[in-house]
Amino acid sequence: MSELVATKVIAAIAKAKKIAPETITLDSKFEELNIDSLDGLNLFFELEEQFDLSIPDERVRTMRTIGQVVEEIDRLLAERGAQGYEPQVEI
Amino acid sequence: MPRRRVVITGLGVICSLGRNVQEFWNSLSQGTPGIGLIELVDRTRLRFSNAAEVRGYRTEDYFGDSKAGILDRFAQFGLIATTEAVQASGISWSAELKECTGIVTGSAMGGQSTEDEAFADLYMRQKTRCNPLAIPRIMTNALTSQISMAYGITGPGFTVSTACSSSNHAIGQAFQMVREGTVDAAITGGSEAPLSLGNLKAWEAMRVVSQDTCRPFSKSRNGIILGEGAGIMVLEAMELAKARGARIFGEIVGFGMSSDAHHITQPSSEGAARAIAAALKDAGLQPETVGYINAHGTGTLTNDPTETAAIRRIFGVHADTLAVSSTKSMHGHALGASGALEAVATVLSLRNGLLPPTANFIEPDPECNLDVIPNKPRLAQCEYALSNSFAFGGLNAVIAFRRFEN
Repeated sequence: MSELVATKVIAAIAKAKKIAPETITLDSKFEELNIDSLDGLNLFFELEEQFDLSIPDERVRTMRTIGQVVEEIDRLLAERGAQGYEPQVEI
Repeated sequence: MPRRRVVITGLGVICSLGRNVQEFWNSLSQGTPGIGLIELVDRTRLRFSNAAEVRGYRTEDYFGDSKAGILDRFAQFGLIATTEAVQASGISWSAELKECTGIVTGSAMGGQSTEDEAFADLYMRQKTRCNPLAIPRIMTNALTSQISMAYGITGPGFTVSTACSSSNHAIGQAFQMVREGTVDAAITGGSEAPLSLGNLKAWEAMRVVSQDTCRPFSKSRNGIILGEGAGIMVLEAMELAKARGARIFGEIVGFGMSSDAHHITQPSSEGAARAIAAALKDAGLQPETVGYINAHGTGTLTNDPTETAAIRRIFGVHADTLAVSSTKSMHGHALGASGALEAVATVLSLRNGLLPPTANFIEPDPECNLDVIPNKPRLAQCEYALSNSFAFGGLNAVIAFRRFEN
């Protein structure tokens, strides 16, 4: 799992929920962080912008923890790397 | 004045299932969905591909140039359905009746395509001016105003915009005005044409649109399918309708509303249940007399179990035998017009003794354990039926209908 991606995901959540990044771990569940459905939509929107990728709806629906979000972004970045895509943003 | 009975003497509809009531009913009664690939906009720019469009619709088939210029697609649909409903009613508009007729329509989005185009002109094409007819095309009350002008109706007229409950709220207000004697007749229903690129992208961002099709109450459901169209009804005080020998399609017997006070997008079973209970109370009905519910049944992960819980809360053991279906599985979710399409579907179901199915159903979900009439229509002669609408923002509206023996 990419530490850089994890740091960015945790930073995005910390900023959105106005909580300290240290209180968020990869095992943290959305409901433990008071992330409701609308917060989730905004979070995924923000992460898609940051990483310049598209997270499919069916993946979003199955995610429960922060670690799963990081894994999904890792997977999409790897998939994109395999296609020879140059990231538009620095990660 | 004592409360009057309110009957439906005219029906009109246009949506993906057909351009008139007969075509609409043919599709519903055969369980044939009108869902397919999006053709109105460039679907390659979307994460989903399907919608319930009025396929092959051409403005010039219905309106001349001068009229077409002032009408957004949503108002065109509304006027087409109104023409059919008024013709079916056989009403002749005396000067007195024109003053004593109300118009109440529902629309969530108004002239969405016009707005999208006008803003694309400014932001994308760098034009310096807007279409001068943009505002009268966009305003959500455009349909009510156009109906008023088309028939010279001068009684109360307004438009209700409560997202997906718009039409049910509109029909409910019209029903109450006729029942209380504020007006003798009303033209009511709703229209929507939400399939502009900007609006579809906004729905895409909500992550509630299905990648394939709408499967209400099915375990594998994965979201809504957006639709478009209009449904219009002519309501009249029963005694007046009978006096002129009108054909009566059905009766509205009750209307209930509630607010969730809960969440801007997540539904609440308590709020939905309160609206159902209010409709039953308004109609003076015992729950076990209801034979059919046309459900809100959007096909999202959260709506369908929430609605199931609400129905179980109100109907208790009767929920085990009560027939429930979502016709959104066929005509899609036409947002502010949904309640109107479903009202027409419910009236026809009672009148024809045949309940439309929940199409596209694959397998049951224990959280949606109702008799949802999966895939095949059912012969059943019900006396009373409800039509549910539960909007984003937690505004709920339920109408109670009765079969009418002419």
